[in-house]
Amino acid sequence: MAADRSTDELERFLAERADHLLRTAALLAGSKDAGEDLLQTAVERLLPRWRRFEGDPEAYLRRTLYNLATDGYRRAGRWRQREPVLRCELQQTYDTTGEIDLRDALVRLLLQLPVRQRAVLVLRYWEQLTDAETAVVLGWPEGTVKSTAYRGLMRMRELAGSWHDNTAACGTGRQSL
Amino acid sequence: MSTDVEELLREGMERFTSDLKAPAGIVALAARRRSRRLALRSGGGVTAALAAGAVAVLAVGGPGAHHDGAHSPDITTDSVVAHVDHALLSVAGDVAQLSVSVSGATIGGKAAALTAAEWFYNRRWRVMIKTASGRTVSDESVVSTSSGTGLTVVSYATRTWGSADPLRLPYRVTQPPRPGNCTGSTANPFADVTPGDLALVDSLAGFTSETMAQDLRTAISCANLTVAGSQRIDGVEAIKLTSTPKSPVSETIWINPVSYLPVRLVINGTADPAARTAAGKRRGLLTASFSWLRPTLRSQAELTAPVPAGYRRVPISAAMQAVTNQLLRAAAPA
Repeated sequence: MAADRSTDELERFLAERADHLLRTAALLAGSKDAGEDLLQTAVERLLPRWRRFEGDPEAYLRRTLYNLATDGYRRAGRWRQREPVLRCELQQTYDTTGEIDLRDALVRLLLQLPVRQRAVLVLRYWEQLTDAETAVVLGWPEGTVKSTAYRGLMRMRELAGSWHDNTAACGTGRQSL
Repeated sequence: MSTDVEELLREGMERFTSDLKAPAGIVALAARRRSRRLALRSGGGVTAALAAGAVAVLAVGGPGAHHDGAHSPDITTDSVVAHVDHALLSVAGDVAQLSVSVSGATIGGKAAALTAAEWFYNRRWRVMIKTASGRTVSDESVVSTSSGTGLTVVSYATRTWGSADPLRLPYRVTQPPRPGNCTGSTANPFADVTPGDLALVDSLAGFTSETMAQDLRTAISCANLTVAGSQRIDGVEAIKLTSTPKSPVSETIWINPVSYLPVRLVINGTADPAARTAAGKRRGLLTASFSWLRPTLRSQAELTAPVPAGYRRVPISAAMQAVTNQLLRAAAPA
């Protein structure tokens, strides 16, 4: 039987690892605020188990983040339904040929994907897990992981392909919404 | 997608999250939320009785019942917000209609007073902006579906309109700055709005009964709101919730004592320090009145910005620019 773990121990663990977990949560949820909300919800899930918790809390929290993001959180009605505010990039700061902007643009595309596709891509390219490892975290068959990743990448390619046609329409720099 | 692009995506994720720091006391925050949730769950079954009791206490001036802003320790903020939470859940499928007025904001350094009519329903919303004199500036509506998002912008000054799927444009996606934690800032409707930015009356963008419930939960778990008696609003003796000194935003919310739905929200504030003009601090005021409409065909029709007959279709960038220009003209030098 495991010894009781103190809240202090959890706080010490989070002092070390919460930043990284928040970064994952923000990628899953699409923003810092929503990421904090997601992470707090995951910690909330861990709290009642913590005294007798056995195993790796980071692995538990990470898996909870992904599960919440892809299923339970939304189903429980706690997902922030807020419409994202879309800010039109200032034309003068948007350089479609620059790699830095391309990186940012790819992330913006990522945030437009359905959450299950986004979760798979975050696991594959942020956490750098294999398909098999991703399948374990999400509790999905490996084939589902592969097909979801494929669809996500294809969707990103479609969205990226439409940029050039539409970039000119965003020339005012005005926030649209 | 090539391996190079996959690497760029990974680097992009790194950049997107590079400045994120988890808030201090995350365990305590989560514990408060858990306590709050458990309290709500245990109180859910007796909502009607508690609601009736709370109204009675208010009506007879029972223990802790005060008027005109006095603190009310016995009509607990927890119980009021629990009822509000439950009430908001019950109207989660309704169309929220808001009448918003903002003063003390700035557009491009000029003072502006604008009003807006707003409607929110699921992933659809519409904002119609008018000047203080009642002239319509713009009408914008957004429809989000799993296959994309459609935006329509109508400029009344130029009698033009445009539409597009904004998600297919190189937009930056950010969440509205609503409070996510105890120290986070809320929407600041008084921050300067630059010509390239129209966050002014859209500061409640994305509002839903659910997000309002969540904001209330956050505020109450952080002890940022407290019952301050009651006040007559539109003929109803509404329960008054005001922000505490520790709240990051100065606000008052009036609650219908029967339905427990918010009927009015007032946010006081100042422009963002970085945006203050030489005039120094300028008080801002946002007032929002709420209505809750059943999702009928008629109420859902309000979610679509109509294009008046004779208006000319233009690229959406032109319609957006026309709206911006009109707002700048409507603003007075600060």
